[in-house]
Amino acid sequence: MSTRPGETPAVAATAIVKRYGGVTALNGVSLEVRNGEIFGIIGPNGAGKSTLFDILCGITAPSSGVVQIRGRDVAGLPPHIIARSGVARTFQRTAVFAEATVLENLLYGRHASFRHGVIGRILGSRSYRQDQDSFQARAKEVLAVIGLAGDRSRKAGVLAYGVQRRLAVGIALMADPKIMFLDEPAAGMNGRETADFIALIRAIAPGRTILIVEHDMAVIRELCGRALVVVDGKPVVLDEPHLVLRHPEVVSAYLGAEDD
Amino acid sequence: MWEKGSRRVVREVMYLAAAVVVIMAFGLVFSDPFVVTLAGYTCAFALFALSVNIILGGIGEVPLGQCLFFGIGSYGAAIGIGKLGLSFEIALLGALVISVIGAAVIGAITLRLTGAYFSIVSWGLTGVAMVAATNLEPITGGPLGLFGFPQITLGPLQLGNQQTYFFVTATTLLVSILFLVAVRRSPFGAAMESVRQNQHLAQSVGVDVTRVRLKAFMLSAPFAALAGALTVPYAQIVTPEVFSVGNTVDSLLMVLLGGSQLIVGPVIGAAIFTLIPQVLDLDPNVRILVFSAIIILIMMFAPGGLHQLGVRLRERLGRARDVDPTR
Amino acid sequence: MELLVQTLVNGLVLGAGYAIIAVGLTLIFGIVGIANFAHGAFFAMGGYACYLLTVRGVNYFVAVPISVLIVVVIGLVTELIIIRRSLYGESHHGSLIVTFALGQAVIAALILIFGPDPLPVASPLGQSTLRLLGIFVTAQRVFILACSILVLGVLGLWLGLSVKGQQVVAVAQNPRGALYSGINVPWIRTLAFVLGVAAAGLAGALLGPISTIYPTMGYGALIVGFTVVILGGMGSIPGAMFGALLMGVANALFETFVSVSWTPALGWVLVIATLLFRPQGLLGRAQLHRH
Repeated sequence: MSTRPGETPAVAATAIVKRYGGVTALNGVSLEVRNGEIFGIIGPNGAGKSTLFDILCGITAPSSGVVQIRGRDVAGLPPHIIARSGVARTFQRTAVFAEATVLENLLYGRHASFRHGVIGRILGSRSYRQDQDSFQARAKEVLAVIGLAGDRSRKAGVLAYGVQRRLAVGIALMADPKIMFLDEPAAGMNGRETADFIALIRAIAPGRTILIVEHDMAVIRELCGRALVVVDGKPVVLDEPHLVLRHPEVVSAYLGAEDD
Repeated sequence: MWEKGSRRVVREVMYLAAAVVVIMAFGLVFSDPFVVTLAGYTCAFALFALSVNIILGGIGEVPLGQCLFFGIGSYGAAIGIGKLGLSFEIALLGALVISVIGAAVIGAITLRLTGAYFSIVSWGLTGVAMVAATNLEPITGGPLGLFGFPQITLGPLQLGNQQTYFFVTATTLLVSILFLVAVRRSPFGAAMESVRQNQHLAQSVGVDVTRVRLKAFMLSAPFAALAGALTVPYAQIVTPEVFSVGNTVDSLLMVLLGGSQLIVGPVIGAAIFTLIPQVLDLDPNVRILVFSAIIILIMMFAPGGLHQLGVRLRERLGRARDVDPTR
Repeated sequence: MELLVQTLVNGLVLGAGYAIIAVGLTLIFGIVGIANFAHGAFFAMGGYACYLLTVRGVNYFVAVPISVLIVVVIGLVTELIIIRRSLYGESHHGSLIVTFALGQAVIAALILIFGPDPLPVASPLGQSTLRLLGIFVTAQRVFILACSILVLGVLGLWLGLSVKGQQVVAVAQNPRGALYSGINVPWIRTLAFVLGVAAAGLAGALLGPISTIYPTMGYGALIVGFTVVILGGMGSIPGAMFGALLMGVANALFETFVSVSWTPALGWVLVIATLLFRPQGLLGRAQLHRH
């Protein structure tokens, strides 16, 4: 984890405010994620953390405030442009391309960077072969990392839930992103799947910056160097997980929210 | 899809060869001119269904206005050779260009928004087109349409000759299918698939969703126009009816019956639904009623069409045989 | 000056008729989540039901609610059997295709049953005109305006004050959340669909006496409905009402002061302008989510 002062943070947000109609979803959230960090965002349901997440990865624009990814202002940039600059994201629901096979899913994660066209495909041009080879090589690596090498021909929709989530990480990995946003990746996983998932993230973390929104405290505790707690749209505390989880406001927010 | 499969290549070459053989055989064996020209018309309409499926099966939008381009093709060819004295080839080319421009304009306005907007606006525009065609009599011949064309030739080929007409349309259809298969396997095809299956995920891996939709729409338009132009030698008349909703219903049914995920699905549907009505000689309203009802039934019980049913059947049979757990 | 006022009044009445159709469409879009391409078909069915009843001697004022009831039943059956199945199925565009096909099937059926020619619907208000504040308005038009205000007013009150109405609003804003709160979302959707098409049927019965009924009358309603909804903002009921009034007045003004034959194009010009410059509509939500 690099702590050099003056280095451009991987992700930086300043005074983010987001209003929907009469509701203020976020009220002045700021944060800085350093290169190579695994950073967690937690908070009760409806606290605004999903909104914050969407704003950080450029899907939604804030009502006011600045978002910068690697020093570059991303407000107003379309999501696919942000994606092409080395940012990847997984989704909570609809995490994969359900009708496609595992291998095709990985293909979709990569094809935006292919250089050949229809003619090249028909004629088997050199750029086609290069794209093919680089894809096959990368797919092989990623399949090994996510542990799905034997499932490459299975339809993603029939995979077990936890396996789909691993595939989602795999899709994100195909473009070798420097920054990854994981949206409640462990939601609905059982203990065993969660442990496997934690190991997976640890394996891919070196050289990348990862932001995780999560409910599952085990994931946050095991993986994150620092975590930010958001309650009712406001930041409550930002510190190491074990300290954050003992913070009195956090405890009461979670105990209070337990009856949903 | 990107897997190297020499077995698959062999299989596909065999399909291609079989298709060529069938076409040749059909054209040479059948001598009844009615059957042959009908087959030619079926190929042309199948091409239209194919263009509808570029959108429906390709990017997952419902192109209720696709007969706009079909009509541009028909009227373009008819006005070109009838009123302007151009050759069929030039008229055709003009129609193709106009259709692409039209698609670009309509798509630019409607494709960034909810799918319903695209469907509504494109459907509404066919209504406008029909009104325009009915009223602009000096250009379009008004409600009676354009007819009485000179001999239509495509290069050295006489499209008035039934066999030639059939071979031309069948070959065009075949070449179009091959081209679309190649597109499907190209990165653009992958982009279209990813947009259709999960547009948010596609966006997050770098796909410009709106641009892909627009390109797909602009790709589909000339196929529809080509189909429209190719029906002119068969029908020998072009009326505002070419923009009617009946064509939309027919093409949707053809696509859905064969299966929108199979590139040749629309062709299967076209074959069935051009032949049956000829045999039954249905009143046009009965036809629309029955076809619409069938569409509803398909969407309720087998939205993937015959293709999906075939896959399901194969899976079920495969499961019965297949006990190997290490597959 | 008098002509202007007259035109404005006509426009308002027109807008009132549009509003019923458009609000129905918005209800369905906002709560069921589908663009109902069969909306015009229900409009037509309302008109034809009214015709069938009045031709057999039923009083017009009785025929109107009965027609609405008939449309309600058809709508209920349609939703339960067809819409549910195709909406929660695999394809995203299923509902669009199904409602489109449904609309076409109904039109074809109407042609086969009643013939393609226009048919008159007799209303006791007949040709009588009233003179209010110096303007002439046909009694039927006044009736439409009154009905429209009444129906939309009741609907607004119901949505705002009744339990079921609140549930409907909740489902529109947050279907998942509503589900977790114990609201029976599928039934609310059914209710919304039935209400929506009932509105269309009512409009058909109300407008029948003004301009005869004919099988393709639904097209006009469908286009008007979607035009208004796009103008006002898809998913916003106030937007639909506002858009309807705007369209009505614009149409009336254009028809009177500019040109009759080009008036159908006005709607399209407004739609395209809206999509280009303010795609969410005048009162629509700021972010147009693609489903």
